Amino acid sequence: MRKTEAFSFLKRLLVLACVERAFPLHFAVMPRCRGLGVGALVWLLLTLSACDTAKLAADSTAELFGRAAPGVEQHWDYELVGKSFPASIVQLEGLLRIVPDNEVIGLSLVGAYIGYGVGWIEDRVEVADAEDEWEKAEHLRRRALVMYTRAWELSKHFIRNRAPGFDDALAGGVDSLDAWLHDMFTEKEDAAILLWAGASLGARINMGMEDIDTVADLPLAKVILRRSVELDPDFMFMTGKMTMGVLAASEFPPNMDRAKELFDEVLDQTERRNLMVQMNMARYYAVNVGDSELFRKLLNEVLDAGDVLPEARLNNVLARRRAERYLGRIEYFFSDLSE
Amino acid sequence: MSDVLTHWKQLLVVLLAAGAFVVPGTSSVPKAHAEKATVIRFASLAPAGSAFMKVMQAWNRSLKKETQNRVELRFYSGGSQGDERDFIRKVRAGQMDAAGVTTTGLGMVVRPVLVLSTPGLITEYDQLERARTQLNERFDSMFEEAGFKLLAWGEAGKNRLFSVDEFAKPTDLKNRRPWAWKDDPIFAEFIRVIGANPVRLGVPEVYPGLQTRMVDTVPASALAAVALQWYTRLNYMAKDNFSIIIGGSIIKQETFDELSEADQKVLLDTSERAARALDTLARRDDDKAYHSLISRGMIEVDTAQHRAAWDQIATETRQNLTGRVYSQSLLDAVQKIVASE
Repeated sequence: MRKTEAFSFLKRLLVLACVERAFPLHFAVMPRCRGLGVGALVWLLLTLSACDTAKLAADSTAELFGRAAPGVEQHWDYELVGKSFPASIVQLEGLLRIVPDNEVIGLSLVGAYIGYGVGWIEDRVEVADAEDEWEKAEHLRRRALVMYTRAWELSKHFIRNRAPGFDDALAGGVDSLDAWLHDMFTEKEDAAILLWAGASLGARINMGMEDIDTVADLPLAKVILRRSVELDPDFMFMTGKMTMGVLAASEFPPNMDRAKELFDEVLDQTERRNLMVQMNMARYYAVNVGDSELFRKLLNEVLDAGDVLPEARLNNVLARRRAERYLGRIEYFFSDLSE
Repeated sequence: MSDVLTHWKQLLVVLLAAGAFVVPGTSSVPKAHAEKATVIRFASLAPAGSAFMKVMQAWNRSLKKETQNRVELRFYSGGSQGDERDFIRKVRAGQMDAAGVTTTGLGMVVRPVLVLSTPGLITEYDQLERARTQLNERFDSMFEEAGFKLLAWGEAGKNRLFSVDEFAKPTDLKNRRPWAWKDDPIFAEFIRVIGANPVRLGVPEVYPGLQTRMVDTVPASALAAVALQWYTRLNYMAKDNFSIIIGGSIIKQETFDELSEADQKVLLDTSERAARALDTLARRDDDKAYHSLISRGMIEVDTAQHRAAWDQIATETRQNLTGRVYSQSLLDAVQKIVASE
């Protein structure tokens, strides 16, 4: 039996147990209707679980979130999804209070914080910066930082739940963390939690650059991200590898050859359908090598592409939004457009 | 478990990488309000979003306000314009107007300015402040001769030794492989005087060099050791610094001359104010980085017990560089200023 099926079965059993507990008379009237073995098991589960209907409901909701997610991923309306995000975040926070160790809810929340932060709040930061509204930009940066910090704390919690020794590995530095990750995370399915963890820490560093101690965490974020990519390079339309390209192009000092190699590989393997790749390659690679022609070409490709990846339509809507903005401000990226 | 996860996490999907992680590259630049504003294109290695760039943006706001939008700065931050060598080349070629640089960039324009970063000469901030104030006119004319206007002095933390292996006295470094930047005659000479051979590499090659142990000892500020991620490959750090990394904002003289006298004055005044704010930040962040490194397991090395030996090496280095990098009279002037309290 697969793990998820077993989990589901156990949950149903627990629901039954709770119902039985809520209506004890049923035991009295149906003693002969069920086998003694099941009754004993139910009673045992009842006793052990000290069952809580709210917890059961929260756990069940987690599955619903998973099944409903494509509806959001494939949505086309940036504004509509952006407005619904805060409510989803608050709802997930509430659910997590009830089931603090439910990884599905926890990582959904991590994803929601990062997605909303990067896709909506940081988007507004860019606009505010461009319009010289620096106080607003600053306020938004702080908001994003708080969200990413929460996402990173949640990620740590769920990594600790999966494997012992995380805090020691983290405190030991990059080599210690790398070795620990290789020992503890070996399955393809582990790529998800590591990508979210690396992304939340990375996003936190990005918004928290004023604090040098936060910046010092960058090598740790890279190690976590790299392990995720090793386990499943294709996960989320190769987001991990693309992010490694962004990093190679933008960290200090940058490695532009490596960045190009990574971007080209992701473009090729995603058949240029994940438009975030072109957008990021334009902004980080083309800008940093001073290639305004490539910048224009990649961003125009994003704008001209149709609905090339329905599974990640929203993602591509975001890419298009940024591509349009960057093209309109090309002189802010290239000091000499005659180059 | 993973099935469910895979769905929901895709939700925000790839957007996390939209701007994920360190985000230099773009500039947070206010748009021009005046139709005919003079735009000064300014390159800096500081990443967008850093405290450093926030001060720079505040500088721009002051400049625009005080010139009634006649002059504004447009920043090209992070690595978007290459390194300091590229900055200087681009300013000379007219592809950039101004830049914020450190010892490296300043030394490329006016080599004698490197006297301020010779080992053992200026190790405290107040000494540096006195030297740059009292010698400002002298250096100013050197920059003008080179076709640049020095807008303001700056600094980028205390320069200290870091190593993979333990050290305490100069002879401990004799058999090491210390890194010296390609264009840095100061530290390379320091290492030669110690009796070791400097390994000449560009900054991008240092991290891989530390990984393979092609180099095992580097000079850096704690701030740089964090920003460049070198600290992850180093274990020991000198408690005492041997110099302070100097910096400054420079502009092409022609661009500066095109401004009206009043706007020149505002540009100089506002850049000075920004520079002093940046000094405060650099000192705070370098100190914070130092303590962050200790909390992350870096071991402090107390070199004070061998101070005489270090001082002797530093003195010999300074003398060897006299006539090659700076004049005896300039060295004497700096020594005199440092000695005066």
